[in-house]
Amino acid sequence: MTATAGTAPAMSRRSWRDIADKRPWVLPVAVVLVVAGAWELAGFLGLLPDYILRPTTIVGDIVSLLVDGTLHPLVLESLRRALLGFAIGSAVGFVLGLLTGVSPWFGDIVDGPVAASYPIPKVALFPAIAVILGFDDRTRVIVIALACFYPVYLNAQSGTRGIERDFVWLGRNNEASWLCQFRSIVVPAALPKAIVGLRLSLALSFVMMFATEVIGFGTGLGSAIFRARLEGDYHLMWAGVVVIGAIGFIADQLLRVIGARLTKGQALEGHRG
Amino acid sequence: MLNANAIGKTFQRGRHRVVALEGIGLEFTRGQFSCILGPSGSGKSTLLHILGGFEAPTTGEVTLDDSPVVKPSRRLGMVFQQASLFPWRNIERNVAWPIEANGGSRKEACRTARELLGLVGLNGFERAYPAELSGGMRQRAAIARTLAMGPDVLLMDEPFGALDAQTRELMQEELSRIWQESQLTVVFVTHDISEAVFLGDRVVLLSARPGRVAHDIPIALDRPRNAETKKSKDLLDHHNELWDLLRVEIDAANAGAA
Repeated sequence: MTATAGTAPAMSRRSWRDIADKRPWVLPVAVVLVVAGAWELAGFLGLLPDYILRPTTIVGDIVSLLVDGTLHPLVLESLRRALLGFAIGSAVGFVLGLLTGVSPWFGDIVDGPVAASYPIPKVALFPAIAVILGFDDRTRVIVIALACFYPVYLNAQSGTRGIERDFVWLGRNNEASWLCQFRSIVVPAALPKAIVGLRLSLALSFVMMFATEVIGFGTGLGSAIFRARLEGDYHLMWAGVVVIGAIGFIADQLLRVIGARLTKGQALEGHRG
Repeated sequence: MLNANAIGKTFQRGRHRVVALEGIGLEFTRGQFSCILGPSGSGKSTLLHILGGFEAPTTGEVTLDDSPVVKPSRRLGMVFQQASLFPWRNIERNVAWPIEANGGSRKEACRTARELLGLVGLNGFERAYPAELSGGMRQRAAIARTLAMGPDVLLMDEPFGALDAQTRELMQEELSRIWQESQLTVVFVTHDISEAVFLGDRVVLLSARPGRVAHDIPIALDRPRNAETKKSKDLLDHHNELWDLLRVEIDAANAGAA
């Protein structure tokens, strides 16, 4: 594909570039449509095994599962878990990351335990916490929150490292209170990096939601997908996978748009020549 | 009145002790525009940081109306070489920030900010983000933000040093006009002789390291000063006189380095 680009007329390349610049969503959407189209065609021609359903079939299944009320209780249950864990873990990570970033001694206290526990797969803690609390919702939310803590903590902390000396001096010059400096300088300055962490954590919260629902006495969408596979119900399995993917995608885009609004000025700074 | 009494500053650079400033005694009377000129490495910026309370002198003390300056305060407003506006706030809210930080309401802060933006000639740019403005406009906004603190003294650390030559000329005329209207006490650090002569009621020439007050020269050009002033023979005479004096210091600095 790329090899032919060199021989394409300059004019058409320019217009492609224009479209890509003005409507950045066109290309990704086109790629998705092409892949889905190829998949659909392969299914139509009978080239796919029976456990891989065609996109149109999956969409139809989702609609009918929503209509008969099978899908949405599962989705809501799982979503509640994922978002609760994400909210708790990333909020703690955000605040601790910023505080350890601006206070060297506090950083020294917290960084050690964080670094030591970082490589532990958080799913591995699921049985350990379950021994104390049982395989219930609280345990799942705690495990999701633990996983979501690290990316936000590390990114928020690194966001505070780049705060300009002039901003710190400006705060001192204005005799601004500690809280005022934290709110109006530290938080916004570290926000672009913290948002990177938040997006990582959001994706992780979905991974962890699925993992914790499959292990133990499963509930929610994750366990429904797993059970569907065991029972050969590929319609429910695929519907579940696509719904998780779609919700994750929408949540990420929402976070991206909110983040872009909050850091608009900084994004402009990046485009400055 | 701002006073520097026998200010000295030494830095420890590994095993070496570097004397940056020595026995600086200066008086900045109310409403006076003082320029501090010196070869690079003469400790001009360090002196300004000490005057503002951002750094502590090794010896001596700074007093503002007879009370010692031991930390930065709103009475001593600093303008940095880089405009250092918050990139996440628009221009109006950048200028409003010092008032908000002092407990003022957002509404009141924004009203004052708009007035100050008018004073520095940035009407119509209230909603723009810093990244959308030119270097000169950003520095105007930074001056407005410092004025929003309501300071008695304006400390300016080569504020036009990062601007292109034409913008710098215009900004000097703007600053002269703003100062004329506000009657603030200004301490302005620069390495540009013409800038120092055009702006200052006096030019304090620092010696090569260690920085001492080598000369303190009154500039008797008529006020208000404008583009015409820059073409006058008086300004040129002052410029030449200072250049000769500065050259001695630069030669001394080079001799010390060799």
